[in-house]
Amino acid sequence: MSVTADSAPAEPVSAHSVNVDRVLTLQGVSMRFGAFTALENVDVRFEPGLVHAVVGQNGAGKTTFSRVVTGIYTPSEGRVLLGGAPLRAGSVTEARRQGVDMVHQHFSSPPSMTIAETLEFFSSERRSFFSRRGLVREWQRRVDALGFDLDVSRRIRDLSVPERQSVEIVRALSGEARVIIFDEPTASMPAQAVDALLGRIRDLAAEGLTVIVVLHKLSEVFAVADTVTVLNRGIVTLPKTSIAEVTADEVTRHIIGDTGPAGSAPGDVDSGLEGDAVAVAAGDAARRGDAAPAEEARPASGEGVRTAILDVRGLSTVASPSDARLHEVDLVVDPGEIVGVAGVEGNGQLSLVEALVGIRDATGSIELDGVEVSKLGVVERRRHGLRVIPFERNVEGVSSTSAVWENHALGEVLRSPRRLLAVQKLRAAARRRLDAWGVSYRGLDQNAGELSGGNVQRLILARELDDEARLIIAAQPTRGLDVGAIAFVQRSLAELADRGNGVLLISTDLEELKGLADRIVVLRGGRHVAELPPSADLHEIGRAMLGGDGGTDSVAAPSGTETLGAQDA
Amino acid sequence: MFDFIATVLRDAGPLLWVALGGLIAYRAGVFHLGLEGLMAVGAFVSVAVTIGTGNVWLGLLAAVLASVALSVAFWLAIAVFKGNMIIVGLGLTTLGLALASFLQIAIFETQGAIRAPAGLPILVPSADSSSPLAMISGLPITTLLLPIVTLAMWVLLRRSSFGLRVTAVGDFPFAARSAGYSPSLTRLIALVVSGALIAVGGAELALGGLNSFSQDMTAGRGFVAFTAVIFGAAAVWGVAGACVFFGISTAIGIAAQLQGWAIPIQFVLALPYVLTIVAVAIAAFVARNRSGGLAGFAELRD
Repeated sequence: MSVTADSAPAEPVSAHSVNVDRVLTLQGVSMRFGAFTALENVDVRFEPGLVHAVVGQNGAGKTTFSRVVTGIYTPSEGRVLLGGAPLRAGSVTEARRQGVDMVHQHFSSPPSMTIAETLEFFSSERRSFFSRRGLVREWQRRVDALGFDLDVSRRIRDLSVPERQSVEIVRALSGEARVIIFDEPTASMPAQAVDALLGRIRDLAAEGLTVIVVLHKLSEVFAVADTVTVLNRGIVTLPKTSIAEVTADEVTRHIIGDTGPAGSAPGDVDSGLEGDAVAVAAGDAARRGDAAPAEEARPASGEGVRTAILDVRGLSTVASPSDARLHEVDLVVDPGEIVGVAGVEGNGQLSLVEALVGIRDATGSIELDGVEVSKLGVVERRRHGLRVIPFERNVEGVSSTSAVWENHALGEVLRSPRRLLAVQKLRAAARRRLDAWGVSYRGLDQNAGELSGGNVQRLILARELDDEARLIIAAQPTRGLDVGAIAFVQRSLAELADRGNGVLLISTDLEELKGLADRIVVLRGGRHVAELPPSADLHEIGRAMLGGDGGTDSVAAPSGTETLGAQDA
Repeated sequence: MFDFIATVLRDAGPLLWVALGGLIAYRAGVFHLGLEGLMAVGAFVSVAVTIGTGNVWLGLLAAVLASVALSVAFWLAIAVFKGNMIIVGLGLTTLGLALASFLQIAIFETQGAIRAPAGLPILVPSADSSSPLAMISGLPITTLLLPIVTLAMWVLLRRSSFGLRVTAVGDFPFAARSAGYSPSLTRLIALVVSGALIAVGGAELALGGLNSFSQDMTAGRGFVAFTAVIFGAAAVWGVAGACVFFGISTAIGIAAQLQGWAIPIQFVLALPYVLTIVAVAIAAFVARNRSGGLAGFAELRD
């Protein structure tokens, strides 16, 4: 990208002198939340006039990164410099005053205001009183001058997503932004608007601003950025590199964390991964050790002797703001099988889980153990053996403000058609099961919210993995757990499968999928785009997830289909 | 006809003062269900202090101070102690009504009406019913000030940076915070202004002609005022229109009684409330179909 060279003649002298205070530098920045390290020793320098992409999977530390840079977080260690002077942290306002502005992924304009009112509200030279006509005239002039096609008398709530994004950009530009950060700007954009936005981002850099774009789609990185920096679990795995010097393959490898050549042992990744890698290895061993029954189960089903535990045909959902919609997804889980679902977060995993559980409207057929359940409600589906370990264990998995025994009893209450509860029996059953599953709790009446993450997950397993469970949907079951708990959860799922049940494992941890699953299904943009064996290398899975490959056909092709699902209805 | 208009304005006047108080709170994101209680306090304190001092302006001032003090307490309960604003608001109404009755009995030792020696100034005490002056005859000065006050309120809320700030806080607090404003401080300012306006409404009800206070004299007007805020889609002129509408329905009820229409008196008395329900239902229906108007309900979240 030779953007800077092209734009240089416009303001050659001033641009040069201004440039120095537009350099944003992170020196040894670490960010810790308690025992959790979100960013580890990040050193990077962003020069003006260029578009800098920061990429990584969800949970790689991108959000923390942008919050540190915009001064919302004060780093635990290290410092952030703007033009050589330390950035004063504290608030968005403070950062904005110093010239660092952020275009949020979730917009920050009040829906009931007009564009002109919003811009006036965020402007630093606010007038005490104004006339509507004066306001509209003033801001229309400035919006036009910036080259945006917006009617400033329209209300924010009537605007499309790209238009709202434009308002945010104008807002940032009407201040004295020297550094602009875009937080996943294309995340909720219709595909046809993405190109215009990327062009706009390049223009900003051409005008001499320092532009940082947080992205997770490779095609967009290669379309817009001059440099790329990769984060993986809080660590810079690929230090800032000129885009001309890397290939999509290399970037993918760094995003996934597989830095060695394809086929290398999963253990030899960067230091911070060791804990998890060991745990996966443990789970892997547990799984492979007992793998024989599962291996035998599959050929049996292949011969048509046994019906599949889960047989999904043409499952589609309508658009939702929280996740991509599903398009005609087919999925089979045979007895004794663990099927992994891989994909970048937001590509339909949530829709899939909710549609299967029965809390999201969907079309298509869902057969559970040979019974069509797509017209049944949540409780009936549970009676047919569907169990779920939900994404948000403290919100969806348990009621934090209810007692431990009540949380456990819910499983039995939902299974039995009885109307009256035998409290003593339920308490006794809870005590028995929780002890058997090794949940450490103070008393049956303790609130579930007081348990640690690992114990909450054990509680959920104790409730969900009962004798009547046929299909368990495990959504990110090990996220945020410590090493011991991870191994326990993985072993439990493996054992469940070995007893001839089915497991649908949704995870963003590819090592986990490779270690546990018999097959890995990849979701992208709400579509079933690939099915790979667990022996597939990380790079191959990553390529299916990100939709980018050698850089020849990917840049144009995927953008048409990838993000449509995230559009608002 | 002209005296019918005067009847409408007599009822709509106190209502609009209170509704404007409810409006600024609503736009700042506070569902103010304490309007009824603050109105009762305003009415009682204005009469009591006027009796004590003989000066109606001191009465009005004291009513404003009392109502503002309770508004600050309301703010403390919802913004600092994070109480549920619906519950605290209803509590404020109960407290205000009870406080007014209790103090009346404690100080004046009567459960009947207490009479003030003077009322708010009336510019046109009486006029021939054929003269246009009859429209404002018998109306207190505060009612006549309302067009100016309403206009000032509109400028404040819709044409000033303070108004943008209040709107942002009520609509989308995240925006206010990212523009550097404290939503909770903004709500305090809004509630203080709101308390003052409500007190004037209460004082006008008591000292605007009757010149007395009796228990339960607010008779649900605070809630009607809150309804006017919703009905008027939280827009200044909409709220003013809603108050006039409620005034008209009350005036029709009064006219029906005076004219001796051949309909049961209970129906006539219920008419304003029935019309209110019908109007609010229509407004909600229209708003849903336009996805505007009542949007405030969905958007005023924290």
